[in-house]
Amino acid sequence: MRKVFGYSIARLRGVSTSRTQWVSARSISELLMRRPVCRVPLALLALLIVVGGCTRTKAVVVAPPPLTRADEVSAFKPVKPERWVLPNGLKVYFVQDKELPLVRGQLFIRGGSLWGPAKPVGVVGAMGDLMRLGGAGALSADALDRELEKLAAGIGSSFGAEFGGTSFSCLVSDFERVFEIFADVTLRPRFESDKISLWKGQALEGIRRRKDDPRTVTSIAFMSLMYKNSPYGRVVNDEDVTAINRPQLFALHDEFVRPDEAILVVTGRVERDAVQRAVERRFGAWAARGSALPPAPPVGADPKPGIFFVGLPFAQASVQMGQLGLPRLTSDYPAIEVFNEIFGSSGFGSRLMNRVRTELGLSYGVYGGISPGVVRGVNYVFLQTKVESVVPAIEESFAVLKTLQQEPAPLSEIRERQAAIENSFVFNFDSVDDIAVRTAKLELLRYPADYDETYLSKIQAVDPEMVRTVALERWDPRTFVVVVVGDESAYSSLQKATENRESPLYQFGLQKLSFDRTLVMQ
Amino acid sequence: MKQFPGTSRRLGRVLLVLLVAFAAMSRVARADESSSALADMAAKVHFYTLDNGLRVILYNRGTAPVFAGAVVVRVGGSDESVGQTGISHLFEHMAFKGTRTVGTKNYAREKELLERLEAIAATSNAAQQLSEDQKRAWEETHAELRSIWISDDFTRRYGQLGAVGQNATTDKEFTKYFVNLPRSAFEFWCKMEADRLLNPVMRQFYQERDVVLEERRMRFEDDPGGRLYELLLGVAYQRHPYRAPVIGYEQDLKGLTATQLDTFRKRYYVPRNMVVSIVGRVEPEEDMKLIRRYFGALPAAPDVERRVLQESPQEGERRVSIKMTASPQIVIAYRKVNYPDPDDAPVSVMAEILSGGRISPLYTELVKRRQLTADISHEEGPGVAYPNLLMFSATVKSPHTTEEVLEAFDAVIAGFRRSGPTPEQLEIAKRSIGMDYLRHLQSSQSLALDFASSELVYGSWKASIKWYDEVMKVTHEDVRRVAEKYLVPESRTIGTVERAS
Repeated sequence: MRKVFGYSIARLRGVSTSRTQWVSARSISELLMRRPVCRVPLALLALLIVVGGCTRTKAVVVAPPPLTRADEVSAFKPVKPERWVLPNGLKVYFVQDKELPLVRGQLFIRGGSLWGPAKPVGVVGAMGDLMRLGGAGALSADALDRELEKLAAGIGSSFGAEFGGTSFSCLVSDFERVFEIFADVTLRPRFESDKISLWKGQALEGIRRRKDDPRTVTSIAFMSLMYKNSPYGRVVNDEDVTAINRPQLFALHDEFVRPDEAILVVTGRVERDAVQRAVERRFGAWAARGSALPPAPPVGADPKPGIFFVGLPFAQASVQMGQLGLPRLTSDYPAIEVFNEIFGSSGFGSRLMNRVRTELGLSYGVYGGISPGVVRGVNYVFLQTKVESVVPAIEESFAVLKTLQQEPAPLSEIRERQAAIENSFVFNFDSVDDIAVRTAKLELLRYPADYDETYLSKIQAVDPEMVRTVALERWDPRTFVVVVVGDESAYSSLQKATENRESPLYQFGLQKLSFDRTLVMQ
Repeated sequence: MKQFPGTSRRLGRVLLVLLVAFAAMSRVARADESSSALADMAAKVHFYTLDNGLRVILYNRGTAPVFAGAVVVRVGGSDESVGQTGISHLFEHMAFKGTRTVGTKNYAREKELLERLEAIAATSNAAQQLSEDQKRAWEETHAELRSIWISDDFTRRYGQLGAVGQNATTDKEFTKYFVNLPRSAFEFWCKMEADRLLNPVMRQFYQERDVVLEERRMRFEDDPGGRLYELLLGVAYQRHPYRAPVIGYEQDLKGLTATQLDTFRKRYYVPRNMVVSIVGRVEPEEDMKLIRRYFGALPAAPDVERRVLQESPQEGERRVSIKMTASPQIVIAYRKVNYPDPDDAPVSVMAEILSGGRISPLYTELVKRRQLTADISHEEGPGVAYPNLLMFSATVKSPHTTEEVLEAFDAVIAGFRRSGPTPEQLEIAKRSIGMDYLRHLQSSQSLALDFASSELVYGSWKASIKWYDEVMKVTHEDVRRVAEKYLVPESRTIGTVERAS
């Protein structure tokens, strides 16, 4: 009974399944998380590309819950992390947590594939993975594995589109030793050749398996169409992986691993002095870079609307549809948060789920919303349904959006969703680690310093008209790119919809794409 | 494989002692310290049994003013009869449809209409073959019901109180309902959970049956791993209900009616078959008053009787292969005993040694040295209440074949059976299981669910702690013995996915 649970299936996708290899690891819970900073489905999608009116009853036994924030939650004041800055620009956040003899650390560095070379695609991600996998300092990769296993410690490294970094976790008694290895992994990776080829073999196998998973194919097609060949939409292919070499990894490491864009977070049962000493000793000599990271590259022109069909023999059709969207923190972001909750990001609290799943039984998973990006994110809807119901499911999703554009949501619904955001906000501060990491990430990604303090009052100020304005001004369903992946038989029903005056898909262009290891326009 | 833990929550002070003991143990091997630490942990748990037989576990953990609440019912796939597979999981979905007072504008009228649907379903093969008249009546009844129903009312009421991670899961032996809430919503939680156990209404049943069929397509029909798993269990088990998928066979699902679900519920959703578990900001005396008030209202009922078919002995290796347009993968599943058999902990240690990390023999040989697979992992399952399987899974790297992987795998196993583990391997495996266990319990939700499940299946919430204690005592000889006894071709089933040409 290694764990007291078997392979379980959940009411909502992606929760508490112990056999992740049986169920694809991506989870919509990540999309549904009430965590503004982490709530970036785009990051999730990008990852795939780079690596692979409510009426209330009268007779209620259960009293209607209050719509204001619970006092206890309001009164709760999370701890403030200590912060200091090294002469080289490295920022350090520290919170002591004496409950356990554990120490954890995470180093976040702004920078990533958005600023990387156009070719080979995926090379920045490779650099990130191989910092840990390829050996570091005096330790060969195999010796590093052995050392960490002996210490029951963990060290990780990765680089994504917008930021990357390294992390460790260990018993406090091993802090000095593990921190030394952690610094080596961060600053002195060896990028051993045999581990590079091991990584390449695994990456190639990942590419080979992309078409086994309908969600992966859908996401790759959608993001490629949205962002075309900009750094936001490039897809790794075999020739990219093959072209990756050791000198590139060293050069990229030099370019991206820099103290002036980095924030180190340490929490656990360790004294501040010990942390300060260790950080100075191991990271003090880390040389700053002369020039600041340039602004993120631009996103290309809006894509041509239409339906893009990929025929693959799946029992379900997977649909992702939407348009290019917004940068983060536009002036209407609080209204966007409330809009998202009502439209499709809050699971069973959202209209998409309510209509397409609960009332019609058309889908197990349906969600969507405005997902802001570094420069421009995406507004999207994702759903999966049996091949026969692909058109009704798409049309119902359009109808949910249209209703929000035509009629302001009832005040009761707005209040309900505001209360959901407010009352769950406390879960962002549930542990010392959550608090420190959140504070660091907000700074790393250039959020205003008062973001958390002002967040809830801004949410409270949202009214029905503001939400309707979001629906009207931020969405234009006539410009949608609609990606459908599924059995060939779905094609003819899509074609009929484009000829049906009643359908929101009327006069949409319909084009076939093919997907083997990558997407091909036909 | 070691992974950096995603989130961390504070552990209780007792776990601290446990970890200290653990660290000390790895250096001076003093198991008695671990025992005393575990005893301390036990002392922090508040355990109650209500008059109706419902068991309650409370565990205080100092965090933000929040708690993780769980209701765990000992019912799942292994309780289902032939022809009704999937009923536990479908009921789990229905438990979110509300009650006589939540989710409806007029229960009295709704009840009449729902009965009308059931009368039609009873004569139309569960509404699969409706006559023209029945179809008309079915649609008219639904039209009126839609004007009465308040969709997703149950979940939304939770949502506006700040619920996070509200969900439920069903496996071979448990159905678990759980949610994280601000402390101020504690009474609300008691009311809502007790209400859905006492007064659930099977509304929107036929729509939800379709939702589950969609879920089945996603998880099993379109997922090579899911499909392989379903087939593997059907071959590894010939008689025991572990052979059937928790989500149910398609034809069984299509034949279920709301009436059948209600009968099923009355048999299994009884107080003696459930545990309520709360971890986080708890105040035992106050909380128990509310728990008694709401959950005490559930009527007492006798113990659930279980007559589960015993699996017959296996007399040779079994194989199952599935051809589909997907890349190859392989699962090698050995039959084994389950806890509390004394061999259970040594088997877990053995599996951890064999494929638990980047220096394990299987990872070293298959992934690093020969590069036949992209990964290798192990899992015990599919359930915990009956003799189960130790399953090794690997994704095969092109251009290699499942046969090459199997051959290399067997060579590693043969070598291991000859030599047994080195002292270093044994110690690393124990440390690794210990750290995993603690990281797992860092989540209040995991802790609540683990204790409740242990109580229900082993008759004591302490079982999972005892198991950990047993792991720490596993010796070189134990591992050799279980390797000899269980890692034999005669008692294994091999499942593969092969690419259809």
